[in-house]
Amino acid sequence: MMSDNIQTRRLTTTIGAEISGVNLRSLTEYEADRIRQELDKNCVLVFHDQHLNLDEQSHFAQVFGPLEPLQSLKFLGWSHVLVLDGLVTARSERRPTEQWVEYPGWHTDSSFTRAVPRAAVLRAEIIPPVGGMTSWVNMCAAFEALSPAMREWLKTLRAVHSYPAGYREKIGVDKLAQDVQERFDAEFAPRDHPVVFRHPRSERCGLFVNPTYTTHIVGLSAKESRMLLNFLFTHFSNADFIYRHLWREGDIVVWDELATLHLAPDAAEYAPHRRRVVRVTAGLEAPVAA
Amino acid sequence: MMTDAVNGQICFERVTGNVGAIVHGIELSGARDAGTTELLRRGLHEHGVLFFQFKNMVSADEFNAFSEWFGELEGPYALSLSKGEELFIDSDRTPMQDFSINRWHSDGTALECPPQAAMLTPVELPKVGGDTMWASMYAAWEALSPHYQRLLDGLEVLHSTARLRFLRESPQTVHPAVIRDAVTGRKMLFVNSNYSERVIGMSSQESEKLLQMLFEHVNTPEFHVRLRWQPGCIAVWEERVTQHRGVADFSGPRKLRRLTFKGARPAA
Repeated sequence: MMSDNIQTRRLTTTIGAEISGVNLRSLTEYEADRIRQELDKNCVLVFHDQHLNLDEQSHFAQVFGPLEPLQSLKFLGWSHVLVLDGLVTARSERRPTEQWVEYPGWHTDSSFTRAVPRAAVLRAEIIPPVGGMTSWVNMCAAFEALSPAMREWLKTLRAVHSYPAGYREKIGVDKLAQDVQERFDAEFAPRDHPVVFRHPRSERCGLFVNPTYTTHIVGLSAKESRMLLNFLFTHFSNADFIYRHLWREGDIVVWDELATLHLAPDAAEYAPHRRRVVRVTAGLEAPVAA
Repeated sequence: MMTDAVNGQICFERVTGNVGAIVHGIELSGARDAGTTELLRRGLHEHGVLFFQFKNMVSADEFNAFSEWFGELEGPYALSLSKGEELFIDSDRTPMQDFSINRWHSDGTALECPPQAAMLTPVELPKVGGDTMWASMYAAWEALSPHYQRLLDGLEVLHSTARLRFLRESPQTVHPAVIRDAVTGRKMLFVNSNYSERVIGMSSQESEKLLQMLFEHVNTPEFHVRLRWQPGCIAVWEERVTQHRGVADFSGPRKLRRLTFKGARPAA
């Protein structure tokens, strides 16, 4: 019999839904289908009281495709699991493939590579007593709120994405053999993507620019490009398109990497407390021009 | 500077790469002929602003007579503050900062048919300062990237007095964002920081961001020429090909005589 306990409650008018009545450890095909549909529709899904361990989290993530690390980390042989620990500890205590401080600023993971994960599944292991919220913005809703003249024009543009200063060092590329470094640089050279993508399943168009990795718009003067990007960055950060999640013990949050940008809290915001979240990524999606 | 006209011909000495020329070979009260008139009018549309330097202060009658080189004068300029009077740009009556004279603008673009051209000559000058600047809208248009040109070409802009709170009248009208000069055939940017209120069909934020970028773009030194006024100088400018602004860096009185010429409706 098909399960009909699964329930959806929208969290804002533009982004995010809470899904209840399912156990992510043992999903039926019907439930998995519903969850994929709800993700396409709502961009961010929240599941309370799941209390998954890492294996269960990785198993669930495969609802969205094969487990797949970010492309730049895959190059280094890292796994699909990334542990993000906001405690300011000595870097030497960390295993480089598992621990990382979160990236500041709104972004889509590794938008400077050919393709981004289809979905990311985040689980909180240590939650600070106050603060530590994660935010997502629906870039389709942001795009749809622009005027028709602006939307049509943006569809004709492409933007360059590039990893920022310090990124190579952060993931340890600078310590690798020279020829490996050269291959990394060749593979992850600045790359352009359409400014507006069409979502492969929802068919909605959305903005594919972010302040962390997007450096400029192709064919515009530096001034024009800066003005346009500043305008778009101010536009998408409007509260109307944003969901902020206050973590509870046992939560699982899934997001669509193409359709959203996310923003991690700065460690200083919840200091002196510790926050440790574990992310698993699955599937691959290259932005396709609208 | 000593490039005098040869055989009664006038000549234009360009003073920057993009805008402005000194005209040689014209007498203040000389006879007018059709050929020279044609050359001057064409030169005005090509160079945007023409400068004439005569020996002495130009009187009201001389100024009026000289205007006939350039076309038909308007009645009292519709947005002027001193209706029915001889029009002066007078620092005592209209201090630059209070009247947005030291911001880039074309005159009267909130009107359906703003003036086509204007001319100034000094009556009283401060010891130093109080220059006037012009910016080429051909150069401003041509320096935009092809992408921005594509966005702007075909857009329409509401021009109003919303940014000029001191005016008694409040006309408003819609003009194309990009227009073409009838004489040279060249395209030019037609938005200015005094009168352009919003881009039609865009959200307020989109419109304001775009206009602010264009206002900043107009303020690019490569598009500019700056005149240090001398007694006996006449400047004539095309109001669409150029924008202008005063420089509010002087003290003491500064008074210039102004005339404006009837204009056609700006067209793409």
